[in-house]
Amino acid sequence: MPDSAPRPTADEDWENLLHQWRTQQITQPQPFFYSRVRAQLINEASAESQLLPTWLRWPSYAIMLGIILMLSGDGAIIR
Amino acid sequence: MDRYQNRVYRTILALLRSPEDAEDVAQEVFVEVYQTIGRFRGEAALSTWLYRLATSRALKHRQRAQAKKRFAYFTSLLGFNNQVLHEPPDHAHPQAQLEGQQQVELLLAHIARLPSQQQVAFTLRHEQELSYEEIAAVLETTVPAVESLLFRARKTLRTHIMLPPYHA
Repeated sequence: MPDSAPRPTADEDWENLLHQWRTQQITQPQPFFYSRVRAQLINEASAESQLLPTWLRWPSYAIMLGIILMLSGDGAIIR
Repeated sequence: MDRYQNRVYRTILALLRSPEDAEDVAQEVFVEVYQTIGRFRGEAALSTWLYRLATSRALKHRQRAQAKKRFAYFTSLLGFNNQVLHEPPDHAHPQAQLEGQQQVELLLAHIARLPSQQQVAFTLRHEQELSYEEIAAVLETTVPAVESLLFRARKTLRTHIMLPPYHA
């Protein structure tokens, strides 16, 4: 009778490798993962809320510029 | 969501192999989940939806990273910058006697070279230990298609990975 353990088959080697993969993998993200997710959510929400007023400001800027040009000109356009 | 956090993170890490990138993508996934949970209609299991988001985001992230790398390589060829590009060491020599962690690294390197669908199927099956039915739901395909993906993935990987002889 052989006195040593039988040599694992190629299939067993393969299964062992897959088992090593599962056990060696880092199991979880860094601490405070949800704090970072929450911070990102807040950032994105505030960025979205600022988006509309920024766009709304453009027409008023254009009107203001027009008024300034009219008032500050030497009247050449009006004449 | 707590119970899914680690599963999502591990799945992404298995596909990207970088803990930092995996963390970034996992964050993106959960931000998207919180923003769109109202639109989740329960047609699939929540875990299926999460796995689908996680795997698609991870693959997109890798495509972007690869495109960036190719662009950096191209610009370095044209001499736009003198940055040295460090390639990861290639452990793929067929005679290499790799042990433990190195073998796992070799396995991961070869998984990364598989077609996307095979990568996802193989990772979900062997890292997350999902059933064929669950993988089919994530990939929005059939069980026979998953069997075929896994068969081809295993065949390719086992051809490339030569395990060292057992030392008694």
